[in-house]
Amino acid sequence: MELLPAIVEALGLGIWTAVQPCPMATNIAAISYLGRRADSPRWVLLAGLLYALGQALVYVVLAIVLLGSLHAARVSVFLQTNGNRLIGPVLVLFGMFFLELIPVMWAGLGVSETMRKRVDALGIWAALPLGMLFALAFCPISAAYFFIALFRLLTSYDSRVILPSVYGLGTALPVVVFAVLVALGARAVGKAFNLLTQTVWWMQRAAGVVCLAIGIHYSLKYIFEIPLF
Amino acid sequence: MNIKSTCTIALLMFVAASIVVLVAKSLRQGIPAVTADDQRDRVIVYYFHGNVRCHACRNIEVYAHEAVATGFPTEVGDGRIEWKVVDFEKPENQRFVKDFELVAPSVVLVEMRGGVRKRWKNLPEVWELFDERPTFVAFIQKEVQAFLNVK
Repeated sequence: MELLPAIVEALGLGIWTAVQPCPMATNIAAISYLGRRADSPRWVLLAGLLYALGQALVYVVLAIVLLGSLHAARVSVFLQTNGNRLIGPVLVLFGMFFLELIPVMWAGLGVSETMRKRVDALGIWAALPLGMLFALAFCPISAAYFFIALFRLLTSYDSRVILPSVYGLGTALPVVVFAVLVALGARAVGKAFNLLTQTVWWMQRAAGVVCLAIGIHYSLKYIFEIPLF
Repeated sequence: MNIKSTCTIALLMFVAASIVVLVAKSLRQGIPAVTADDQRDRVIVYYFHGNVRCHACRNIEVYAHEAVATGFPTEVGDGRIEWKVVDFEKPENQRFVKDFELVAPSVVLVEMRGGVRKRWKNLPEVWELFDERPTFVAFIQKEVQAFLNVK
């Protein structure tokens, strides 16, 4: 019970981190990825849970390894520099996958339809590494909230698992809630016009375009260092 | 070749180019430039930042600079206080990350005596105040004054 105020604080800190402008682009990509399955709110919720689990896992590992460590500063700066660089190419590949550009190539390379369906089925599990990747891509404000504010809390309560997990759930919560709302909204529209299949098709394309745009933006900004705006 | 295949090849080439540049940048760890240290005794108020300049980071830089310039015009004028903005992601500045335990952009006060760093203080509290300009400015001025008062 004495951990309860700290749990509330860690959750609030996580939610507050997620709604900052800095991680907005990755959050939009995650919402479009999770919310695209308007035909199955259960899928959206499960993928959302995996996404949250991925974020929580990363924060727990970082807390276990780095709390009180002299290397925390170097790791934080390394992640701020390289985490965002990794996101670009990964999101471009995600976008290509949703737009069915990659399976087109695979078909040409002789990959069977069965194989393609298996890869499609892996879609829900991709939420886990996606959550982990986005958690690793610290921007200055999320690094400050995690390595300064949360680490203070962890030190005070001597907690390296529960509080970082709650923080991770907090960072994922707004994303999952918005994804569920987007999916339910699209589902309602699709059902009202008896066009659910087409709605899912369009949601998939929209997710592809969003991931592609954000991926290209991240690559240009963080890898090629071309200032866009 | 249709448009879809062209887009696919172009995007894959973009991904490949991104990965090549990413790897090249990771391998390119430049040798830190050695600069002649200034021997003047002074307090340096550093603002450290990385490549990503977020809204909060810019607030911190602007407010901290304002606090120093308006709170200590005489000391800045005669060189007892110096304001410096440093990108800690540049190879020649990466030593500061370890020296001052910089986990994020921050304001750090450093006392220099005879070209040697005598003491320093990191002010991570700036992350709690970046949305409150008057409080932020007052906080920095109080911290700098307290730092100057310690002999």
